[in-house]
Amino acid sequence: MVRHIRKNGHQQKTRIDKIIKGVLFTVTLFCASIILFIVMFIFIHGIKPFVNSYQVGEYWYRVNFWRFMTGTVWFQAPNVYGIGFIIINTLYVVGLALAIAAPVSIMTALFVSRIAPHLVGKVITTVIELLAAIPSIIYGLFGMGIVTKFVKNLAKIFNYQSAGGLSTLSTVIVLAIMIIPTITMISIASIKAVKRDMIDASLALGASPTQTNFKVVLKSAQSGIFSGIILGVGRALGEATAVSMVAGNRGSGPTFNLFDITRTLTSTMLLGLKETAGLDYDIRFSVGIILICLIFGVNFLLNMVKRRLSR
Amino acid sequence: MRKIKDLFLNVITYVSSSFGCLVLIILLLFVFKNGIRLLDWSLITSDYHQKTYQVNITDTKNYHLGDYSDPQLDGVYYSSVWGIGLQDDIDRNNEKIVTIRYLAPLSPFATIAKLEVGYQISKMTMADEMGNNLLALAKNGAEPMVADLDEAKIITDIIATSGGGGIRGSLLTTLYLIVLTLVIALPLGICAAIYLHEFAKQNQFTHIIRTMIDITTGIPSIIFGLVGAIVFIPMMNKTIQSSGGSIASGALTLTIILLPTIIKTTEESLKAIPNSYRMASLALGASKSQTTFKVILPNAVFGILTATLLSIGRIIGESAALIYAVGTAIKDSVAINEKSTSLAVHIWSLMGGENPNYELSCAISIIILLIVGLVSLGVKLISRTINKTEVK
Amino acid sequence: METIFTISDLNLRYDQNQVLHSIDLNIYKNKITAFIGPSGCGKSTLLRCFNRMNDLIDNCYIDGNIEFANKNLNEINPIELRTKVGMVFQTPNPFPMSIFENVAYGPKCQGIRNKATLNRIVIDSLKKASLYEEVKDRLHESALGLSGGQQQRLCIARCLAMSPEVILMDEPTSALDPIATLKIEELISTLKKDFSIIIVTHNMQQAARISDYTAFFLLGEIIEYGKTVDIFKNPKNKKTEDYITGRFG
Repeated sequence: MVRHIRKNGHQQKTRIDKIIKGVLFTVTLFCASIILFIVMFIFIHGIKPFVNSYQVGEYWYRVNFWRFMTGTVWFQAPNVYGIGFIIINTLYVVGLALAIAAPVSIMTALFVSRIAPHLVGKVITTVIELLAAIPSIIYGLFGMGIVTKFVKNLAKIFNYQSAGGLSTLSTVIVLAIMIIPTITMISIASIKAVKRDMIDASLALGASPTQTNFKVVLKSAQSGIFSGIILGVGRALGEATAVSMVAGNRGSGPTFNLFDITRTLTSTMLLGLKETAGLDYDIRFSVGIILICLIFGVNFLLNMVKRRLSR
Repeated sequence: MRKIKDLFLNVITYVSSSFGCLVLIILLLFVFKNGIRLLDWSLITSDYHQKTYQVNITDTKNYHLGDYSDPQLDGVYYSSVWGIGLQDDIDRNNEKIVTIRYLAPLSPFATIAKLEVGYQISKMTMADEMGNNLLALAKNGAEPMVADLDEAKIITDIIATSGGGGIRGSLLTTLYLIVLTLVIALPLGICAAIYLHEFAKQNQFTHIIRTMIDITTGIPSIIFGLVGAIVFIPMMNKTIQSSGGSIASGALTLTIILLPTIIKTTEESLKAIPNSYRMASLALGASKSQTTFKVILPNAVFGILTATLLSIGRIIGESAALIYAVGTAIKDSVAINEKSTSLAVHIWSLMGGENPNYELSCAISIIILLIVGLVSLGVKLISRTINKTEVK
Repeated sequence: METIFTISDLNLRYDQNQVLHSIDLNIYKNKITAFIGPSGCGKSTLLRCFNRMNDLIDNCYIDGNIEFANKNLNEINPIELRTKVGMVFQTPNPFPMSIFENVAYGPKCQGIRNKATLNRIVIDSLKKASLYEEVKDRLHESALGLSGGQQQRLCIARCLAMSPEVILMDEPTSALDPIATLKIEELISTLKKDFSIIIVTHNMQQAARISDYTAFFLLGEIIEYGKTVDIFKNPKNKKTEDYITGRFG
């Protein structure tokens, strides 16, 4: 049998190994550099409105960067764009959505992992998983069909005329619903990971199960829960389709009125898309740059807070 | 005092949990209630755009009016003079129409006007024996139309439509997108996962690569759409002669969205393969590549399957990226180098604009939810099978 | 001599698996009682009966009578019971809070909010647990920064803050090094003045050193129970003698 193995078979194997390793490495390098490409291309294209000149009618224009960042009106012909107010609106809407979603998610997670009977917990976990799997376009549809009608009627009670229900409040509600599954699932995992030891110690000291849950379990799981919140915030900041369907298309701002229409960075990129070239198209890439910066910035800040908390 | 506080806190957790259930129930009810009416086989097979026919039946020599026998169908108003049965209906755009439910084989509607059962008639201008003009509109209903028909001798103008509101084009597009994307993304992702887990040294460089792939998951899909628009659309324009967006550019965009997920899921399943397999294979004198492709990969099948299912679920739900990277034009004939809409983008097109079509959108949503549901079920079944074999 | 716990004919099983057989036992006040025996013979399980921690296990079924201060255990609210019967666990398990917050946890749960009172309780308990001198400058730092031995003394302090009548200790030093062990044994001996202590231990020498009464368990039964000196010098049962002299276990 040994005679059948060719002498240079081993050398060939090593050579093949090297080639394959090289191929796989190249592929991996490509996958990793996607993020670089993304940032690069968006940056290059999004810088154009501030650097190149566009022809509108007879004249050539540029967009002023400072006015872009601090502007309170989205578009004034021919070359004034402002996203300052949009950034504020985006943070406002996401902040409110988080204020609703975080408590609901944490309480639901606590219920499922510590309070509910085993079967009920499983059912609710499945419900949350289903909600997590629903695509954003359907949430947008749901927002247009049900949430806006609800807000419209609510506005009537307050004697406020809303634009058919398209409003800040609708956006907040839809976003909250969309990030609750994310935060809940991660919170459930964190709470389940709390050591039995810790819980026994608390009970052995004469604390009630509820006191144990709220004082010890949540505290032990807080790092994981916060990670879930960071993930939820990231998702909310980047959500485009659903938000565009319920936010309205506000031209100027910022606005903090819940019944007014609003505008977020993502809805700006998605709505009003007419041409595929020209200043109006390119400026959306600039908005994209700001969106990426915002998401990274918020992520970074929140991670610092998380580190501070766990000390 | 403490008991009251405890009870209050417990009640809060109950209420919070029911919020999620409530939302799911309301959402499903909304979608099903609105969409179920349109959900039938023809929705999936017909075109979105309507075909309009404008014909007339005036050549009195070539047809005869007479006694076409009544098939006695329920709800159908029948003209025995012309041999045509009409029924009131509502089309997929929620407008009142009149549908042809029965045509006698020798009816002039069939032989001369060449209409078929299933077509809709929107308007008919007729003249009776004495030359009076009769005008029948679909919005007035089938019964008056048939009554007028019974009086008429010639029909000077028929406007009929067929098809409309179907999602065949979008369904096909979605299928193409899924297949094309998986064909490109799966091999790339699996290769990267294999490299990272089997070949790479666990050093700082590999750590950086992993982090970069991880960061990509935090980027919202609309950004990927932007990248697709400025990178893949021009690339495809040059190579496969598309103009503007195409299914191909969409598939490439979806590929870069899915790569991190595929890599992560595949790596997880590679981690689960016991090291003893690798040791045994190498000890038998097999090379690293042989070990990887003959021993490791076949055992990672479940992980790759999971990655596939997750990708399918993600592709079906993706909207923002495709709006930029492909476009929003609903088409009936679909080709890889042309624009089209996936199911999700179809909904976006229907709901944007002046007349949002809730019913059709909800019907499409039902289909999307069913597929997403099946995918989730699949993933769960796979993980349960894996756990069972591991426990053994 | 006063009895604080009386057990009559206690049987305990997990599903169909019988773990404790017909236990009869009196625990005496202000004495240290040790449970010794090989692993898996039910010592810790019996210990957990005293503060009804076994109630938390689904498939645990208990028959028989336990009386605490002449009251049937089942008639006492478990949460209230645990304020009177405290427990220290095998692996130190401080909460992820400050040292102060750890000790103040129990009293706070009982509704004590006055800052001065809490302060006094915390310092008192830390002193009784021989930990105060070592941590008095960092009361508000995280408890997780303490060494294993210090953490265990913190857990004892946490328990003492509730002013219990009985302290249950489940192998409290098995996870600690010899020096820390010694410190805790000294501590336990001083606590006997104010508390009744039941300690489960693997370490026979430890039982011989610090306990007043010893119960020897084997396969869920009490083989012998009596004064520690008697058990170790003149064991009546051959099995006890075999265990103590190291012939098995």
